[in-house]
Amino acid sequence: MKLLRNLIGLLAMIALHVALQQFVPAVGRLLDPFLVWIVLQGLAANPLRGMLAGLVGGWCEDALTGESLFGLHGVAGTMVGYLVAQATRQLSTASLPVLGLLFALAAALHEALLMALQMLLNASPATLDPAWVGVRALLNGVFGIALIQGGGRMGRWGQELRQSRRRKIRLDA
Amino acid sequence: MSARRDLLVLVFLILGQLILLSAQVRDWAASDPASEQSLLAGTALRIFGPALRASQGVDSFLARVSRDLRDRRRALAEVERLETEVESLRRRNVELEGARLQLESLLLALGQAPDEIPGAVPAEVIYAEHRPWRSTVVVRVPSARGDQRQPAAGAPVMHHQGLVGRIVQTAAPLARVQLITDRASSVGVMIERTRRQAVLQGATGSEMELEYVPLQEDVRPGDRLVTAGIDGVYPRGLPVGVVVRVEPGDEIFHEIRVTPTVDLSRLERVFLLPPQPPLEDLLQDEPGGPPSP
Repeated sequence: MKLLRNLIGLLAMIALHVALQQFVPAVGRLLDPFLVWIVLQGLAANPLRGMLAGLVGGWCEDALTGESLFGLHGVAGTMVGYLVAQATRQLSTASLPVLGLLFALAAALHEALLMALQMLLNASPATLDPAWVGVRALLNGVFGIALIQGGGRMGRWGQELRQSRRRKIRLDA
Repeated sequence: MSARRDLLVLVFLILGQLILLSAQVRDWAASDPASEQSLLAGTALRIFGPALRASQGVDSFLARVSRDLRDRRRALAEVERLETEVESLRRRNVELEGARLQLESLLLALGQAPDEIPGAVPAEVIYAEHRPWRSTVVVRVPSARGDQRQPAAGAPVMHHQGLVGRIVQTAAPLARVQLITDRASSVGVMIERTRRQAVLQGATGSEMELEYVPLQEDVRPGDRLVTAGIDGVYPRGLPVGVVVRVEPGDEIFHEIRVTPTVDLSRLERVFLLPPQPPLEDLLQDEPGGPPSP
């Protein structure tokens, strides 16, 4: 069930990525739904899960972005997923500022890793613009927090709905 | 133990991916530098092809929906504009109809029958009988007018202000006219403003009752009534009366009181219109009507 939910989440991120690239490319360049998904998986504080999510999410991004080298995002995603999971074990992610910081740092790290890999493999490396990285980190942080908040609300709503239905069934019986 | 395992997995995954990347770099350097083809990239592209095609489909669908919405908005605006125009033309039509009727009335008052009602004959009212159950007048057609202008039973009678009634008895040169206020009188009318048709029934007193107007119909005091031309007696468009009172009647129809446009208690001079042709004659005039014997 959990796996299915995560897969649905990934599919939603693919759809979002494609939609952003298709309809609002300016936002699509800044927002990275796959990175947000990887961080969300890493927040489960399970490094294995974080790594696998990073690998799968990164490969999806590789496939969609059409990088000259397939797997750059995969490596970066794996690293980010692992590090976020490790960080979650050490930090209290209940507070929003910590979560925001985690998302922002993950976005910055992701960019840095990509840049390093491109330089290492000499695959037409681009220069890193700190302002751009900052904006990207901020936007992904905000999006991630919004997703967590929205997901929490949806979860509570679903729980209340289930409880009320159960009560009704009991009353009917 | 778990941390070490995780670290091992991480190293394994990273190394594996780096080997894959290195292999791509090697292939890439060996092949055409302009080409970015690699087995992994090609496979990934094939896997995600449907998603990319779907995005294109969604894009064109959204474009179509947007275009349809724009067209719909434009069509609604056009419909609104046309409705306003139709309403304005209707109002203008009613005004023109009123003007035409006024012109006809003036012509009749001057003793000239308008072209649309050929053969209208002026006559003098020589006797009036207004009782609760009977409202008639006797008119006399001047003999100098000749035989062709003798009163005929069923002929509509009007005053320059509007309809008076119809001839029910003739004894040339005299004729008895049943007034529209007579209890036995029924006139097919329509409300000039809304074009709603109804039956105007004579009643006790000087007022009449407009019948068979449903409660949901918009009728107001001051609405003018003209003949509808559907009863086979009166031609269409003659002023008949004005609504003076509208009250909710039974569950279905309004209770509407109407006063005649003509002061029937002071009639002196009226005009006899030619009787309406029988229905059979009208049908014979129509193409495809019954053949004449």
